[in-house]
Amino acid sequence: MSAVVTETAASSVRVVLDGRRFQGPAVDFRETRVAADDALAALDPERSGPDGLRIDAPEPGPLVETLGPVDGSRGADRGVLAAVARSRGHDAPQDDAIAEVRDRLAAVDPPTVDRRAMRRRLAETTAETDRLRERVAELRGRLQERRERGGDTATLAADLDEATDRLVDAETERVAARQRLDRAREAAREARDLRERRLELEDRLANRRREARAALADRALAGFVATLATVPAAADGLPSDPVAAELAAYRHGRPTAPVVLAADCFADAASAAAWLDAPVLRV
Amino acid sequence: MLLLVTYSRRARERLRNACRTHEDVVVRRFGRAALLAPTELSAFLAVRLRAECGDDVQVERTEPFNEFEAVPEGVREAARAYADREHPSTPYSAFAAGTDHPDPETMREREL
Repeated sequence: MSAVVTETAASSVRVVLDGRRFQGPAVDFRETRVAADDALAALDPERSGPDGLRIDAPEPGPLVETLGPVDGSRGADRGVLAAVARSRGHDAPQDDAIAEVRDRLAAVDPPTVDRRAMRRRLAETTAETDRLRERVAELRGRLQERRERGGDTATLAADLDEATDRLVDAETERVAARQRLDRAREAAREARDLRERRLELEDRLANRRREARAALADRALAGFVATLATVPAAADGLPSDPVAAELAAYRHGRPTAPVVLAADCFADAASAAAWLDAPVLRV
Repeated sequence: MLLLVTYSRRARERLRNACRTHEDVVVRRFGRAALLAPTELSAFLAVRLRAECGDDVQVERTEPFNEFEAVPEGVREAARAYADREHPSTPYSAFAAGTDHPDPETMREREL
């Protein structure tokens, strides 16, 4: 296995693959088993790549996290353009409001009352009570009949006493289960005001974020469109070409981690790194 | 029928998806709530949503309301008489005062 490394002026990335070291602005993994997801996993400090692969590079910031590999799977939508603007250091007018809503949201913590076991208990005790009630009625009927016929009633009477005792116990348990569940339902009902409040805040947060994305995307749009016109010929350079759009987004943005390139649009990884002005991992 | 009310974005989204996939059991949808037909499939959806979203979904079993079965005659009559009142601005407590109609406090205390 080998990876081809080419030196250019762009800042570089260090890769260790199966004990071999590669360093440069562009590392070409096409001859190896490293796929786009492997490279992204190895870049992400919260995940880890396949055994034998280590990539030393700054952590992927919002732009790389939003856009992922250049493979035409996302193109450049509003979310990507917003990430481009953020990577260029722009803020959104909604940022303070977003932080405030997030703080308020974090403070809303409705209690959870798990009522599943209580519902089950009530159903069980109710079924048991019904069963015993039928049993008592049946025994009572048989005892009555036996008495009328003048037979021995001692065993039946003992059975009835026992069933009656058990019915009383079951009834007590059923009432207790009912009360426990009623109390828990009451508590859940009260907590719903809090949940409703949280949902309002969640909606508000989503709205502010949407507005922020739109505002940031607007800031990046002109520069992105101008960059798109300069994407090399291998991609057709039309706004509808998702690979071209992703390249233009990375070029116009400031990716902190190497760009994972999984599309044919440059002669080699080095020319991709040169055009993008960023380290490139070609997969 | 089953009334499902959701209390989070995630639960709301899941209810929306479930309703979209199983339109045939949806009797009515209201924003973040839905009324489902009394079928096992509705129950399946309710229990699944409960398992996924916990207290962020409220499930109630509803039944048609027949005032002739469930409501005392005095309450029914008071309601009809109040609906037919002469002065629309009269509040019910004033309307009921000095008549045989039950006052709101009494009705509030009495369970249906």
